[in-house]
Amino acid sequence: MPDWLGSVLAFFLCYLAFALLALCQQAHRKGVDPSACIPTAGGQRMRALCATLCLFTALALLLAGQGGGFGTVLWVLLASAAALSLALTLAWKPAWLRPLLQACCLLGGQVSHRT
Amino acid sequence: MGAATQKQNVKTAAVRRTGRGTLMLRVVAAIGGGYACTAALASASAQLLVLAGGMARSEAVILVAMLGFFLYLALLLWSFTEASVWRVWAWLSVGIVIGVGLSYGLALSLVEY
Amino acid sequence: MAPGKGFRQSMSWLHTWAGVLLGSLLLAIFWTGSLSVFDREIDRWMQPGTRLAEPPPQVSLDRLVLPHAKNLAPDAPVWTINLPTPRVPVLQLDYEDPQHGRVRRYINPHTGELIVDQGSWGGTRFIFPFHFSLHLNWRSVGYWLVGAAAMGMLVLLVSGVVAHRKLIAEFFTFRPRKRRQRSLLDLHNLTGVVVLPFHFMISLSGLVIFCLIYFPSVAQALYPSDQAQLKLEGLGTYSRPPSGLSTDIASLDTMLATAQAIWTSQGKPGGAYLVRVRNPFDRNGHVEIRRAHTQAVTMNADRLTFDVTTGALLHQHSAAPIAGVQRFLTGLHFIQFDHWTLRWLYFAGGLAGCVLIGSGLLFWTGSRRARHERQRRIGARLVEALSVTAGPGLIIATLTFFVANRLLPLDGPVTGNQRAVLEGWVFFLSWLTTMAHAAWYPAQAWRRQLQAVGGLAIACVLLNGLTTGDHLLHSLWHGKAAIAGMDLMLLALAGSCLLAARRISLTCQARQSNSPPEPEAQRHA
Repeated sequence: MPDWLGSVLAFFLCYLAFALLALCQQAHRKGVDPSACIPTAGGQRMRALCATLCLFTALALLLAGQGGGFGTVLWVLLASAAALSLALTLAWKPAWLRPLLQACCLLGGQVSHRT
Repeated sequence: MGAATQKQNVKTAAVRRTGRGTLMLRVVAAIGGGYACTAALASASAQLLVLAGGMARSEAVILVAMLGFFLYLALLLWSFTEASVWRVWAWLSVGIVIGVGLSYGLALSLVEY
Repeated sequence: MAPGKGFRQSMSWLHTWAGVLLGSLLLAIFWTGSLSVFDREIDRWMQPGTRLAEPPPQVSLDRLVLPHAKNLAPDAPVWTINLPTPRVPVLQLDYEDPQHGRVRRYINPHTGELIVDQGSWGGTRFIFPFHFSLHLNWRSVGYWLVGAAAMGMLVLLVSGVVAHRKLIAEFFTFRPRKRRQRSLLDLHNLTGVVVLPFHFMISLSGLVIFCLIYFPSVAQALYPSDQAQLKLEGLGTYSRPPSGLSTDIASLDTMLATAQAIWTSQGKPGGAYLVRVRNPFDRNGHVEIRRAHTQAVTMNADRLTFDVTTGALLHQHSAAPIAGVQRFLTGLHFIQFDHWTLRWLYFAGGLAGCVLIGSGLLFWTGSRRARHERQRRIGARLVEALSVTAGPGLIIATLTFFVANRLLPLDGPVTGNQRAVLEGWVFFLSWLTTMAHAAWYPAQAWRRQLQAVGGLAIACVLLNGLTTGDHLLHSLWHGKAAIAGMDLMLLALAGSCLLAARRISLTCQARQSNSPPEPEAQRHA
């Protein structure tokens, strides 16, 4: 695949990873959707694991596409850019992350908020 | 302002003066002493790497110069967290003496290089 | 908060003080560093004569450069020739002239004609050197100041992370709608923590570039009498003294071809980027050819030196392992490689650094202003004035530098290096003016200077269109990426600064209408 596509994919993988990690924190969950489910400890671990997998996939993608030197540097910088973008999303447009939070709740590992 | 408060202010002023003096000593130790200690230990390490480690001279210079930044950073941070200024001066002086001493000692062995 | 009283408190104290003392200097370094990412594009904008099309893949130095070199600099001890690249579509000839100092002339690689002296140092010879030496060349004072600032940056990064109590909890936190101090601190923490790898990497690599300058004692210890030997063994810089006997120069093109062949046989891709002729007409003269480093992060030290008379190979060099690490870190900082995504990410990282430092300074002055006014201390006022000077003030200086470049005539009474010096004077004098303005009108300094940035940036775009005909639509249509990019960035700068100024005035108006009118509140509007 062309280099730029690899970079874009890696960026979105990192963004997804950081979104999952942010949604493990109560303050951000409340900001995105106050009425969302509360994840169990197992659910939290699952989200963290998915996030880690996404980050490593992004790294592998970049290393494969652009070699050791460029790949590593690009990964570090794209990860920072993704984390920053996510923080700005949470600050100004938290509602954009609602679908992701709902998907996490649907996929299980939650405590019903009626309890 | 009552007499008690005035005495308190005088006391605080005196404490502030000695405090400022100690602070200056610490800053000089950290920035100047830290650099001197780093440079001294770095020179000695470079010589040791060549003499004992068999490293090429230019390689040793570059390796030690790069690692020197980490040592200086550590010394800077430590100088400001260590409680006693005198301990800071003491340890930095030890470092400088060891570094300079070793440097002079090893310089003779390097002459044939 | 004091040093030596607990680990976290000491780090907090250190972070505050180092930040206050070094903040403005670091802001200047980060700003000029961010601009230097695109220094060659700035060159194209400031030197319209070099806005040529894509260079031909092969150029003949013998035919295109040697005649000009022999004509312009027959007595110069060194000729440095830079081959054209997509970012710099011209041949560059550098030499030292006893009357004019260090001269750079451009040559059209298609026609071989000498381009009119553009009389500007542009990004590569003004903004970039400011970044690493502050143009303070007396006894390398500038280098040491920048080095100290870089060490300070490392201290600030580590102490900042240690002092940040809620690192994980507030990792993604940014609350722009809370009160000013909270939002500022959030922004400072965010740009500090999330972009930490970049900030640490860029500061460390910057120091590593000059590691031999910053630790002269180490070089002295191992090379007590012969620093030239260190340069030869470490970097491959071959040298031999002139013989006094004259000679003719052999074919540079043949040497280039030989160099290419040698590197290809060693499995090293890419051609040469630089040819340096030392003592060109002396029997002992030599030609150094360096391999391009656009395909990798590492700025390789692959250098071949040839005899100037016979073209025979005198010396080969490539970096040893540890020198290679130093060259990798150097390359990490210089970003001369061909990777536009990375280039833009570095630019964004540098600007994030500016936001980090600026928000820190604003936070500190905001939290101390009231107290210092009560106690009649100048600390907060001083730091605030310096922050404005190093922030919007420096941007204003940069923009007036660009405006002067467009307004000063090329064929007027001042040409060549003298014209470039004049541009430099405009930069420093306007910077001084912003400092005076910040000191005199502290209350409105931010707003007014941000508005000035907006106005000046738009003026730059208009002047480019008027004086060169390469206005934005024209450059976009003809694919002149450097010029279009520069104009677009200038417009983006204008937009964001005017928006920021508007926000500041709205906040002030809101504050005024909310609280009962007092002389104090009105003075701060």
